[in-house]
Amino acid sequence: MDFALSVEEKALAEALAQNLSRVCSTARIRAWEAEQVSFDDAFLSAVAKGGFLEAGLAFGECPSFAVLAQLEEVAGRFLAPPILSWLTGYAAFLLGDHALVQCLAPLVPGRSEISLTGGRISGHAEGVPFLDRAAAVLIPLPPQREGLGEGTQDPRVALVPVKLQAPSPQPSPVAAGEGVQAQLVATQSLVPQWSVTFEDTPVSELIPAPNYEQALTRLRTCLAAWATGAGSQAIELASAYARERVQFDHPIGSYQSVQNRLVDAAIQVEQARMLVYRAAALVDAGDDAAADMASLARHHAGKAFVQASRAGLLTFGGYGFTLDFDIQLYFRRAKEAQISFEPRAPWALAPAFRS
Amino acid sequence: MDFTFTPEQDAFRHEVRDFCAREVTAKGRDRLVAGEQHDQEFYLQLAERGYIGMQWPPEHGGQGRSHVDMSIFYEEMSYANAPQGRYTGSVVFVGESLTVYGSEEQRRDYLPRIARGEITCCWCLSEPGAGSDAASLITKAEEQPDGSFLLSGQKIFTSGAHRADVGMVAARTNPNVPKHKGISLFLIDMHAPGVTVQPLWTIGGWQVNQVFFDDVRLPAKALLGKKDEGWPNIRITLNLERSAIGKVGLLMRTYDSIRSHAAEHGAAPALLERLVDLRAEIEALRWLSYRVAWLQDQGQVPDALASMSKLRSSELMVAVSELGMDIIGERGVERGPEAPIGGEAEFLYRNTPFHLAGGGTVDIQRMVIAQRGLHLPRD
Repeated sequence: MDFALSVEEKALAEALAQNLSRVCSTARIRAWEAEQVSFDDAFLSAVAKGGFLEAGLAFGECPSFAVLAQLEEVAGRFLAPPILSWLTGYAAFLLGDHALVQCLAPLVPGRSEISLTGGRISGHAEGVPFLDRAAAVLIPLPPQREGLGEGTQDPRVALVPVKLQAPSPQPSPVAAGEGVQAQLVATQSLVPQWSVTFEDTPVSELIPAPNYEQALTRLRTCLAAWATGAGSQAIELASAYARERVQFDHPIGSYQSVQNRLVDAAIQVEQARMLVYRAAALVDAGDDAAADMASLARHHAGKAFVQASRAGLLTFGGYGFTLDFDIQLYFRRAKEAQISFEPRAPWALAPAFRS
Repeated sequence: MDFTFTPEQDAFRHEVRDFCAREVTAKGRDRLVAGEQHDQEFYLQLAERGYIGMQWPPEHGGQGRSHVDMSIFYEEMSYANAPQGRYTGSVVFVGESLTVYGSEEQRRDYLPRIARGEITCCWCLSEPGAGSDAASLITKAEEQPDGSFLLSGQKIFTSGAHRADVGMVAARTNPNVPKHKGISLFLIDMHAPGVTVQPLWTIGGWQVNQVFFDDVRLPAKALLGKKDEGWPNIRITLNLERSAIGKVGLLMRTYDSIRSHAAEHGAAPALLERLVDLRAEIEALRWLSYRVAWLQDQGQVPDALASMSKLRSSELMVAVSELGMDIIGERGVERGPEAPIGGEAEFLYRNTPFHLAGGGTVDIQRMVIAQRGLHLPRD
C-alpha cells in the first residue's frame, strides 16, 4: 500500500501539467468552443510527443494503467479534451495498435444502433467525439449486437474511414466519407460532438476484440479520473476566490455557509479519487473486481464533479454566472461528463462487499 | 502509488477474519452491540492474540504493526459486529496519545498494561459547558507547593468511565491566560478518592457517564505533556479519534445485510439507485480511511482527511440506516434479532446521534476540513 505518487509518476504528471498549461489554457478552450473544434494541432502534438498517448499500454514506456488514470486526472484539471480516456484507455487498448491512436472518433458505447451486413454498416450514432480530427470512426460491435445483421457472440470493432468535409459548424448534415453523414450537435459544454448516420458504409477493417469488457472498464476508470481532476480544480478555483473575495469586512471563505458547501463537495471528489485509483490498481492486478470498481468510480465521480462545479459556481456569486470567470467552463462540462456516457452504474443491484 | 494490500496485510486480514468467525459468531457475540459494550472475556482474548496495541513497539507491549494493520483489524472486527468494548478508548484515545506526547516512563508504565488487557482507559474532555468549544473547559487542577495537583470539576459524555482504571483528563491549570492556553492533561486513577462516576443512558442502549472530581489529589508524575500546553495535544488526540476506521466495517456489514434483503424481497428502483450510491460512498470511505492510517504510518497528522473520514462515516450511518429501513418497509422500525435483517438498520439508525456528535460534531469536522484542508480563513 502506498498512497503517494512515486518520483517517476509525479514527474510524468507534472510534465503533462506543464504541457497542458501551454497548449490547453482556458483561453484556448474558449477559442475551441467558439470555433467549434475539438482541439487544435498544438494540443494533440504536445500530448503525443510527450508519450502520454502510450501511457498504460503494453507497448508504452510506462505500462501501468494507474499512471494513465493519474494523467487523465491532470487533464481533467485543465478541462483538456479527454483523449487519454477515449484514445489510449479505450481505443488503443482495443486495437492494440498505437499507430491508429491519434486519428480515431470512437462511437460512444451504448449510444449507437449499428448493423453490419456484408462488410458494410448502416445505422446511427449519437454523441460522437473528435470527428473533426479523425481519419476513422471506431465502431464497437459487442456481442449484444447479435441479430443486427451479421451478429456474433464475439465482440469486434469496425473501422470506417472518415473525413469531415467542413470543419466549421454547419446547420445541416455534411458528408464525412463514403456513406457517412455527420451533424454537429450543440451541447451545454459547447464541446463539439456529432450525430452520425451510416448508410451502407464500407468497413475498412473488422477486428476481433476479445478484450472489449476490459476496454470498457478502462474507459470508465479514465473518465472517472478526468471528472475527479475537473472537480478538484473547480474546488480549488472557488477556494482561492473565497480566500480573496471580501464581503461584510471578511473573506467570504470565513463564513461557514460558504465553507460547508465547498467542504462537502471536496469530500465527494476525494472519495471519487479513492475509487478511481482502487479501480486502476485492480486493473493493473488483472483482478476481476476491477469492472465493478470502475463502474462505482464512474458513477461516483460523475456526481462528485457535478456537485463540485455547482459549489464552485455558487461561491463566485453572481460572477459565477458570467462568462468572465473560468468556473463556468467547469459547470457547463460537469453534467455532460456525468450523463453523456453511462449516467448510472450498469447493474440493477449494486455488488455486495462480501458474498 | 499502490492501492493494494501487501500479502502480509492480506494474511493478517484473514487471520482476524478467522478469529472473528471462531470467537465472535460462534459464541453468539455478534448480536447487536454498541461499540462501547465491553466483554471482558473477549477483550482478554484480543490481548492474548496481541491485537490490543498491536501498532506499538514490543518494548511497549505491542507487535510493531502499522496503523494500516490496525485499520484492517478494525474493519474485520466491525464487520463481524464483535464487541470492541474499551478497545478504542484505551488503545486509540489514551494509548496512541501516550505514544505521541507521553513521557517514556509513562509509556513503559501504561502501554504494556493496556496491551495485556489489565487496564482500560477513558478520555475525559467534554464538560456541560464545553462541548464543541472544548477549550472553554473549567475543570481545574491547582498545583500544590509539593508539586502535586488538586483536581476538581465535572466531565460529561465520558464513555467507559464506569469501567476505566485510568482516565486521561483535560483540566485548566492557568485561568489567567487565553482559553486555549493554560490547559494541561493528566493521567488519573479512576478509582482514586474523590472520583465519582454517574451513568447517563443513551437511546442506543449503552452507557456514557458524568464524572465528578472532588479535590482529587494527583501526583506530579500524573501530568501528561507540559503544564499549560495541553491544547495542541488535545487536538492530536481528537485527530487520532477521528481517524479510527471502525465505522467502515459496520457500514459494510449493514449495507450487505440490506442488499441481501433487497435481493430476496425486491425494492423500488429509486431505492436500488440509493443502494448504488451508498455502495460507492462506502467503498470510497474505506480507502479514504486506509489512506489516513497510511499517512499516520508515514508520521503525518492528516487532520483534514481524518475529519473527512469521520464526517462521511457518520453521515453514511444515517444514509445507510435510513435506506435499510425504507427498503424493509413497515417492519423496518422493529427492534431486535427477530426483526428483518436482525434489526441492524433500526439499531444503527437509533445510534446515529452518537456517531454524528461523538469525537466532534459534523459542524466541527467541516470547520477543520475548511481551514486545514481547503485553507479557508477563520471567521
